[in-house]
Amino acid sequence: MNLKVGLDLGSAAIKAAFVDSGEMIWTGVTATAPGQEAIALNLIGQGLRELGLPPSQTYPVASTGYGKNLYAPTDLKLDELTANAAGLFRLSDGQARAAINIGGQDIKALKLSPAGKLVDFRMNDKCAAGTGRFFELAARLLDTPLDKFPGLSREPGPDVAINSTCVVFAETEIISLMSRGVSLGPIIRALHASVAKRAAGLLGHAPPGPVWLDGGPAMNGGLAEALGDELMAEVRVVPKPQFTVAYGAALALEGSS
Amino acid sequence: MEHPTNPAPDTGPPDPRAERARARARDRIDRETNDALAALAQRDDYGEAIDYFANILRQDNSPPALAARLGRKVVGLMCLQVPPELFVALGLQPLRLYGGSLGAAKSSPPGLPALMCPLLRSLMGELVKEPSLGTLDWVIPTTCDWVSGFESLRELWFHDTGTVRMVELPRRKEHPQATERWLSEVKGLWDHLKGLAGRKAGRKELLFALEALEAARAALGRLTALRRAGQVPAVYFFLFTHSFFFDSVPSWSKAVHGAADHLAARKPAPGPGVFLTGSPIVFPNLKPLRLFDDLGLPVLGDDMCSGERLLFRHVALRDTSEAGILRALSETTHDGCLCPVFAENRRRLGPIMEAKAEAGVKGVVFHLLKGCHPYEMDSLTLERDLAENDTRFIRLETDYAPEDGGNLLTRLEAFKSTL
Repeated sequence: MNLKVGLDLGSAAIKAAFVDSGEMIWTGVTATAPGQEAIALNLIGQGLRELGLPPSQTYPVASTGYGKNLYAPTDLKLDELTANAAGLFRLSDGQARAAINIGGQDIKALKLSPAGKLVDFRMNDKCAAGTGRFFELAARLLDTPLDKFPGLSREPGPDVAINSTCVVFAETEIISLMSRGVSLGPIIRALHASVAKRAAGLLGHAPPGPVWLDGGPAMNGGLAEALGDELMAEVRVVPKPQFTVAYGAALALEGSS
Repeated sequence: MEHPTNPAPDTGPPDPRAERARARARDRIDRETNDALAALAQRDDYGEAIDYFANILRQDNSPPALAARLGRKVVGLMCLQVPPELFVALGLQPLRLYGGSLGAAKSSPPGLPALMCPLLRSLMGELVKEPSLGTLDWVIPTTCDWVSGFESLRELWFHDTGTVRMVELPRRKEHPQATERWLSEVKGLWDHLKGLAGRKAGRKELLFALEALEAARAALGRLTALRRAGQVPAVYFFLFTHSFFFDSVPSWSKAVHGAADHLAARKPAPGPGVFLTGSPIVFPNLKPLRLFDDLGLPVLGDDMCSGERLLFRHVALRDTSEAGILRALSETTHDGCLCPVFAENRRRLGPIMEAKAEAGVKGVVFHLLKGCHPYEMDSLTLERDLAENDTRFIRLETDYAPEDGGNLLTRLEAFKSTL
């Protein structure tokens, strides 16, 4: 076995991807908390156990994400945009040219070369609008788990809009819609449209072809639909979209070895 | 609207709240300055030649202290469109007004616009800290809307003010009438400054000032050449340019030569070199500069009015009469100003392409301060123009607060990987 481990130490979650000869053979995720190195080591230990590998198994680790410097035993550190591009390119069978990644506290728009190299990108500034935090806040306000969002967003109801790009004001708008008796479906649809508009603005003029969506919120099919509508383009989601970055980090070890 | 910052004169005893606000502002700003200077002193390449500039900024730079130290009258100057020679010829010390202090921005009076230009919000805080700054005579070129409207805002909070000379900037830069209009403004300012200085001056004094500033340009040019070779850390360059306003021109020029001697021994920084443009970076706002230095993205050049554009370029004299010198100064400053407030700015790309050709700049970093609308618009057209010239570009929108350091670092790391 030629095991390599990619760690994505994000603001909301720590993700690990185990890779053997380019194939993702195990993934794991846990919430970010103080003591990130210990948490990451536990996560890796869990992966080894679940794969039936002995604790003596050797493996190089590549770390990325906001917390990459907090994991001391790393063999390679790289930025998450480069890791994202590498992981997504491989998972899309070399098709990805434009992508949007929605993370815990940021949104990234990426453009890739035909060789899979990151050639351009944009990130949101110091603002949580449209990020994973935004969805978490909405879920709390609506008292609805995030995994219910895709189904609810397809329920019939009036067209309403959330126009604020600021999380705080968006919260006020959501409360206002709830107090007007608007049901969950239209509110969630409006949330998706609001995030999609922000993400599309970040991507700007996308190259022709599909746009790929990854990051944890990409598992929300309603968001992908809203993004497709906003971009007027096909939006594709890779399997396990929250592990793209960790996977890309592990792939970077192939290049560095 | 009354706020406890600088009560109108003759309205009774000092407001204790104003004293408290002043003490708080002083504490914040001084601590921030000292922290920034202490961080610089930790660098391996720090030395006596660098400490000269740090020491200037460590001193009491309140206008009365500055005037006493330099032995000349201090005049506030908002933007650097106007020729510095006019001040030097009259023995006046221009003091750049806009600020780079987060502590000052936090100390600004309540009720200012939420998305106000950080440079001017910081100035508002500096006025809270140092009322004597507000009692100076000010020169304000009408550059952006924030600058043009600043005086009206200031009057809402600060009553005890000196004279204000607005210098009208023609927005149609490339139009022939604009050149004449700007010359007329420069001549008017020259007469105004003579009044402030209380002395007569003409050709002889202007030639003396030209000579002093050409020497300063030569010193800065030497430093710039080293910078093109990757030998000047970004944080130092802006330390040098900022200290210009708190020193005499000959002393500053000599010290810049000293710094160049010191840095010439430094190995060029590894990593792909970048060109810095966008909203001015002003000490003690070293946040973006530290990122470049720490990340191995040497800044090989910039076109900021707080950086390489500080002194404009060589003044070409065709006529050495007083009128001829004023015309040459007017043309140099008008042509050399790249501020995006102009309706047409065709020369914008020039310095970037020159630095790319001279020094092998690999990418352009656009520093955009939140609330700086002219530069925000400029960034979009510049991005397109650079793409057409096969030059990588990244825009960093930020402010003075440190909390987005991780986000900026991520972006710069990824940008570096694309160069």
